[in-house]
Amino acid sequence: MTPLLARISGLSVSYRADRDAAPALDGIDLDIVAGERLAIIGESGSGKSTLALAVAGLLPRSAVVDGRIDWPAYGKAPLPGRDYGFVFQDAGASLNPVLTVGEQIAEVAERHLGVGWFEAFGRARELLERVRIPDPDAALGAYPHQLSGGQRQRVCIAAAICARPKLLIADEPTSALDMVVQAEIVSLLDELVREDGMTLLFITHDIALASGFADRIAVFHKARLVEAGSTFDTLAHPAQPYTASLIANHIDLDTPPLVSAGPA
Amino acid sequence: MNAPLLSAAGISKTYSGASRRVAALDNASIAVMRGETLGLVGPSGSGKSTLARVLLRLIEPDAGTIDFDGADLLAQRGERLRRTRRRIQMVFQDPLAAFNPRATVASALDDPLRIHGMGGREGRQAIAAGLLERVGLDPALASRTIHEISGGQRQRVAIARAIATGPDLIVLDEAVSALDVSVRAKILELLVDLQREREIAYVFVSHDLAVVRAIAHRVAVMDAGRVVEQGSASDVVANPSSPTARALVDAVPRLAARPGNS
Repeated sequence: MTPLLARISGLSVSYRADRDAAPALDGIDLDIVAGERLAIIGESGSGKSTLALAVAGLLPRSAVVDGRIDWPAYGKAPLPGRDYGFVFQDAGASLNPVLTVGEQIAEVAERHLGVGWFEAFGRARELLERVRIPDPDAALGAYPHQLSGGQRQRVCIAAAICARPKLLIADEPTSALDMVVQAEIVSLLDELVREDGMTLLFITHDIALASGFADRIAVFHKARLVEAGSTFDTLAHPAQPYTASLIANHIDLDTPPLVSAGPA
Repeated sequence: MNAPLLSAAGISKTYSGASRRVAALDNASIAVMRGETLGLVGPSGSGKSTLARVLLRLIEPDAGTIDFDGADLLAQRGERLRRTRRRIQMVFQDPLAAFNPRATVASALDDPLRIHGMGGREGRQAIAAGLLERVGLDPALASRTIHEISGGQRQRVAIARAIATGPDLIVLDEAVSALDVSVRAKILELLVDLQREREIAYVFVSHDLAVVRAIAHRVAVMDAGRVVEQGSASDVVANPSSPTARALVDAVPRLAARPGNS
C-alpha cells in the first residue's frame, strides 16, 4: 500500500472579489502520494496555482473554500517552512531585498530547526553548496539583486528545503527563466527531491517539461481536474480530448516546421 | 542572389554603469531577405532583444551600419525616418504593456493609420474592420477596451496593428512566449499565413529554440552580445556548432511519450 501524503476531496475555491465569475477550482478530488513527483498541468485560468495555494494553506482570506484536504502523513495541516517548502515563479519577489542571502536561509534554519544563529549560518552555506551556487561563501553575504534570476531561484529552493520538509511545492518555478537555466533548475529540483525522499508538487503550463521527471501528471482545465495518471500512460493514451490537444499543440524539436526551407 | 531586405553589420552597443561597462551588443551582424523569417535565439542577456530594438531604431547603436532596402537606416531622421517606420513594425511579448489598456481596439488600430495618413476617418474604420477580420477577430470587438479582451485576442490586435501600414518587416520580440499553447499554435499559423500572403519578413526573437525552429527559415544564435552561429533552422538544430546552440538544443523539453507511438 502506498502511503498517502494528502487527500483532496471535493475541493472548490472561488474568490469573493468576483462572485459572479466562474470558480477558480470546482470539485477537485486528488490524492498526493508520499514520495511521488506529481505535476499539475494547466493553461491560464485552469486553477493550477489556486490548487498550489490551497494545498499550502495560503489562499487569501477572502477565498470561499468548499471541500477538504486531509493530511494522513501529518495528522494536521502542515506548517509552512517546516512541513512543506514553497518555491514561487518570481524568485525576485519572494526574497527580501534588504537581507543577505545567508540571513534569509539561516532565518528558516533558526526558526524551524531550533538551532543557534551560528549553526543556522552553517546550514545556509551547506544548502547554497547543495543548490550549486558557484561561490557559496560570497553568496552568503550577497543581496538578492546581485544575483541572476537563476541564482535567485536556487536561493529560494535552498530556503524552501532548509527545514527538511516532506513536501516541496513549486509553482511555475522556471517560467521566468530562459530555457537553459530552466533545464538546470528542473534537474536540480529532481535531484534534491530524490536524495531527500521529498514529495514534489510541480505546477506548470508545460506538459513536456513535466513529462521529463514527474511520476504522475494531473491535467487541469477551467477549474476542473480533466484527468490524472502516470506520466507515460497519460501522454501515450490521453483519456480526454483536452489532454490530447495539449500534447498536439506542444512544440518541440520533433514538431514539423510551419515553413519550408526557403522564404516564401 | 537578391540583396537582403535588411542587413545590419558590426552592431555594437555598450551600457556604462557606475562600476562597469557591459557590452550588450558586440559586433553583431545579421541579414533578412524579403519574405523570410530570421529567428534570433539566445539565453537571457544575450543581446537578442537589444538587437531587435536597434533594428526598430528604438536604441541607437554605438557602432555599425544598417541597410534597409538599399538605404542607410541609421542616417534617417524626421520625415524620412517616419516613412521608413511605416515599413518596419513590431509586436512585443506583452500587448497589455504595448497598448494603452484603456484605449479601445478601434483606436489602437486607428493610431498607425492616422499617423501615416492612410485614408479619411471612415476609410480608416473600414480598414480597421478588415484588419480585425484578417487576424481572425470579430469586428464587433472594435468597441472593447484592450484590457477587456483575452491575451490571445490582444496579441491578434497587436498583429493587426503591425500589418496596418503594409510593412515589409515585422520585428516580433517573444511575441508568443506568454501565450497558452493552444493560442500560441494559432498565432504562429496566422503569422505564417500573413507572411505568405504579403511577403512580410520577420525577425522573430525568442528564447525557445523549438518555436524558432518551427517558424523560422534561418536562425541566428546569440550569446554575450555576439552572433555565435547562423544557418538554416533545421541545420542549427540538427548540427549545432557553438556551445550556446548546443545548450539551447539540449534544453528544449521533450515529451516523454506521445499518443500513437508507444
